[in-house]
Amino acid sequence: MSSEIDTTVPWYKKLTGDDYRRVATGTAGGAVLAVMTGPEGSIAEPLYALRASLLTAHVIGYLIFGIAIGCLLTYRAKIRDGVWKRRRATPRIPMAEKMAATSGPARSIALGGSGVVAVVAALLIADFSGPYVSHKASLHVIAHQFLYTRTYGYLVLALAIWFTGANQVFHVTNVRLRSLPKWSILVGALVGSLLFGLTADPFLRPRFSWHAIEPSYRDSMFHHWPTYLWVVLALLLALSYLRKRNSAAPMSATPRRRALVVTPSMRVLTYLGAGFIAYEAPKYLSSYWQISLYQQIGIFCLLAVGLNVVVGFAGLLDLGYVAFYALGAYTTAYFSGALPLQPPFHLNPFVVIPAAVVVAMLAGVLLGLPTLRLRGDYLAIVTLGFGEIVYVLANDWTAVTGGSPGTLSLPTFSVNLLGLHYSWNPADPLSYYYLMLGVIVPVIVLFDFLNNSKVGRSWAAIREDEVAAQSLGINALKYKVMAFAIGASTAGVAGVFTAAKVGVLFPATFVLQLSITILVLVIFGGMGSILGVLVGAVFLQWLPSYLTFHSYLGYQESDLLLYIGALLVIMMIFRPQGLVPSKRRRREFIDAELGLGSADALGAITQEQPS
Amino acid sequence: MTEPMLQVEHVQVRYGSVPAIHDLSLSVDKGEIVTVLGANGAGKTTTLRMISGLHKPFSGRVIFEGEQIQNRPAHELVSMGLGHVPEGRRIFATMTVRENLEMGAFGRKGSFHEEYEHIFTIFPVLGERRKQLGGTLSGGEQQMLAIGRALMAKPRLLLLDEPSLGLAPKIIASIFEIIGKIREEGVTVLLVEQNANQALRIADRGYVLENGEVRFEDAAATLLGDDRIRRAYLGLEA
Amino acid sequence: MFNYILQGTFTGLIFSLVALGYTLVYGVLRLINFAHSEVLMTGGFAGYFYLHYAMSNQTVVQSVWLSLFFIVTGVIVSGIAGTLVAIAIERFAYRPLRRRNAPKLAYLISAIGASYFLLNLFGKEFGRYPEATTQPFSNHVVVTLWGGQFTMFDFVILVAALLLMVILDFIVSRTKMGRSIRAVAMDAETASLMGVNVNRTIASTFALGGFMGGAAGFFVAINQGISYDMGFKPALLAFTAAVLGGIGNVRGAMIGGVVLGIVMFAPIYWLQQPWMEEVIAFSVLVLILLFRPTGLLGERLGRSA
Repeated sequence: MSSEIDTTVPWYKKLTGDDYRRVATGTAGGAVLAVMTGPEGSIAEPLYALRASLLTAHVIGYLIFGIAIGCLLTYRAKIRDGVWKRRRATPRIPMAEKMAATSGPARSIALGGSGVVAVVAALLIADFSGPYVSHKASLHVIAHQFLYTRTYGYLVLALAIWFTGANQVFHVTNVRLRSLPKWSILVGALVGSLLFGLTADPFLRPRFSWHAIEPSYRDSMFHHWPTYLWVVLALLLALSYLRKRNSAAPMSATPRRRALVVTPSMRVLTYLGAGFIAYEAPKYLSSYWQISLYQQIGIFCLLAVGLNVVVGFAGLLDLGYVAFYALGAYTTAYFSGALPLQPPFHLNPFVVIPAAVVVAMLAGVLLGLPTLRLRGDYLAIVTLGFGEIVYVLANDWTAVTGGSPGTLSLPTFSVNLLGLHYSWNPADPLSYYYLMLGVIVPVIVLFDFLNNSKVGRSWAAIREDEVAAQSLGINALKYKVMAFAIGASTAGVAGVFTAAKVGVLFPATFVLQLSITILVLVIFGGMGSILGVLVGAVFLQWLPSYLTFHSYLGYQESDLLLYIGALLVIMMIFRPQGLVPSKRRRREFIDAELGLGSADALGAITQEQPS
Repeated sequence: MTEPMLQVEHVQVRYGSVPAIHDLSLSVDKGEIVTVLGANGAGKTTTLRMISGLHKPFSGRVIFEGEQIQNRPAHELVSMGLGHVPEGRRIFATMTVRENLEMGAFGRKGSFHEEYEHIFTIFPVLGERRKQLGGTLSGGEQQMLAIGRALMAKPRLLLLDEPSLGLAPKIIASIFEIIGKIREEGVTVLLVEQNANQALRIADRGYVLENGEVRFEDAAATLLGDDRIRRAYLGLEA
Repeated sequence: MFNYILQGTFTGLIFSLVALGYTLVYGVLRLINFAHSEVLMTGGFAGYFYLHYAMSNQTVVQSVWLSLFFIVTGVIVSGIAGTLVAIAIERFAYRPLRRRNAPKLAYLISAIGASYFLLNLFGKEFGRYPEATTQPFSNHVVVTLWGGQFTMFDFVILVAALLLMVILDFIVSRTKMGRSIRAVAMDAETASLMGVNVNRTIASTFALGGFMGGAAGFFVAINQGISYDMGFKPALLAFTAAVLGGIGNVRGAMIGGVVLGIVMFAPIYWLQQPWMEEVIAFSVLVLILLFRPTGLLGERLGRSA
């Protein structure tokens, strides 16, 4: 192949329109990132935000990043098409040996030069990843960064990388990475990432900057999160390196990888451990996090687990999911007598739960039956419309729902049975949290059971090949409506829980955006996998709360959907099965790519021609 | 000896990780009719689809008139002179006969009155039905339309995928007659067929595929005369 | 009664323009392009900025010819903006998935993501408050018919929408580009064997629909002003219109829009409850799906008439 590369023409003359387009796309992507992370604009001065963000130091970084990606893609494409010669045409070792053999000024210059590059790069990264400082790119900003320990963290990291690299190439010392014992690599990764996390983490600025140490010990658990992430990342890297090293060694006769065998006792221990943490950990949180644990995380876990039945198990797309949530909430409000429309009798929220389930389920069946007989993608738009109708009714049908001002003073949960009196106090979020735990755990167990039963297998069959499923006697419509109604009733329960805790209802809560947000929780974690959905919901609900609470990185709450939108597209392109996919769903996505069956219940589409 | 018009060299085609064609080589000389035979699932249609760019080969090369084409998209190959009549005819059902033919000349510029007339002289039936919708034609007429449509692009090599599929014997005979005529006009033909008897009678050479590999290749007459092959692969009586 | 029907027709014409985008894309990809609302929004913003700067704060346009000039160029500017966004959506949210042969669910989700991304990007860049657009003509009442007052705007939209639809119909049914679109809609693979570049054809389908959507955005901007979420409601209604007419059917989309516009005026006429119009529209959608899922003119993918 290499003989076909025309070397008489210089490389830059071989650039084509495609390559310029790649670089331009990269640049544009960088600019979009810059605007995304930049300040808010206004219509009166349309280019303000763009100009301001382009002039900011940390945003120029995104542009450079975008251009670099564009160049990289071009390079890759050129090598692939055999137009450019691979730079590393000769193996790496001779080059390293050559450099190692070099002595005197050349060696010193190369060594010193790369060191300087590493330092400068670290400073730039520290700068670019820093908080949104001002609209001016200046030395002042860079100098300012020195005041933060973060800068030292990046310096340490850069120097470590530089030293490792230099040692490989120049043999500065006799120690080679390959000859190091395994434990030392793991320990090194652990210590290094802890050091890096503690000093360099942009999230940790106030904690470890010179003057501010976090006062509350109770908060610190969450503060360590980014550090833990770094540690896990470093350990994973080290492990993968070690595995590669092992497999590279031809001598080893031991099996490379032993599958983890999950014994029943391990499983029980895991559940017990998880239960203990879920019970114990929230007690040490500040009230901000306790509230958020219920309102942001708990309720959304329930919602996501419910939507997962529709999207993940049955492969349908429900964009009006929030409508069922609203139905649950308004059912609670109706039976408490808080709405203009008075109920025949008043009910405690506990008793409303079955009523909400019935109402939401009925709505789901009524909506699903006509629509699900048709193509699956119609369901998406009909549910979208349904969500909009429910919102409009809540907002404008003043005679029944009270309209846009909302409904106030809803009752909270209370028990008054057989001499037992207990009333949940909205000022104590933990009591709600435990109540929520008491609902969500059985729901998860139930859904897991369903998914592993005949019903779950029918859903899988419909997803993978609806026609074949029907020919086996599976009533596709029945199972689809069933999934849809189960999802709807779960949302109804979540609605009751929200209404009973918050005590007020505003129609503006139940907008389409919320449906999309819940959809993202499901997709991010991995549709079809309950564990994945929970992970996705916890992480994606925690992160914005965290960023809002600490207002780092110039994060603005109003931008949440901007990032969520981008995340959806990126997930669909690179990892449609989600972060923690179920085995079956992942295989379905792979099979669908090969043209075998489908991974949803929506029908076929036109493919890209091979080019 | 001149270079063959089409050369397929050690091609492997995969659907996912499942290979459909293992290691296939074949060549077609200018002016020939070459037929590819074999049972269902032997990889005949995949071979044609791979040549015309609908399916990328996993490895190997395809050379058409001296140029490597295995990485070219289908629509570029049409203007290079490679026509493909797909299996099952696949005519545009809600376009008229005339519009279908226009689609065939999609990559070319100018007006095509002469070509229409030419096609209508080869297939007089189509001329009578030029205003009719493609979907309302009979099977045989649709096949003629599909061939005519491919000819509109003025191909130098025509790939024909099972032109006799589902047609009455009388119509099959006339279709094969037309294939002969097309060759006389200077178009090279690569013909994939189940109807081995007819195909070998018209072809110069033949390849017999089995499980994605070439089992036999020889002059058509020799293949037709070989009892072993007739029985085992061609489904013909000895 | 008649004036409501007429009024509904005028409103419906905007839905028709937007519905064309849905129907065209549905024709070639069998997909609902959820990001189409953002095409409309972009068109609206382009129209706003164009009029804002081109007319440089003139409040009243003096001559009829000048008005006409601003309307025509405004439609073109908005249409081009819509085209560009539609192509970008196809390029970044659809094509990477097509290459991987992803399931339909992935497309829908990716399109929703793109829609939310664009929506909030505009919200962030230009603020989240609605703004009135500079009017390129004085919107006075021209005629009073059957008790209804019809303004200049109604006539502008009537003429412009009909003109645009005639042009589109011509492109789809008579030109080479239209023929390639129809061919890809019927059978993409065979079309590529005819020398049709399928990817480019899909892009041009998005572009055509995008132009119509952008132009519709221009009229929405003039009529109701702009805001970052201006595309959502008209687009949702336009989708209903597309289904009403028979999705995939270009002429069906045109008629569906008008019918929907008229149906939506019913609650105003009978109930005097304007907020009911959306409820009516979606009830209509569900009813159509129940009783005539192929729409008024029927789904005839890849066929313009």
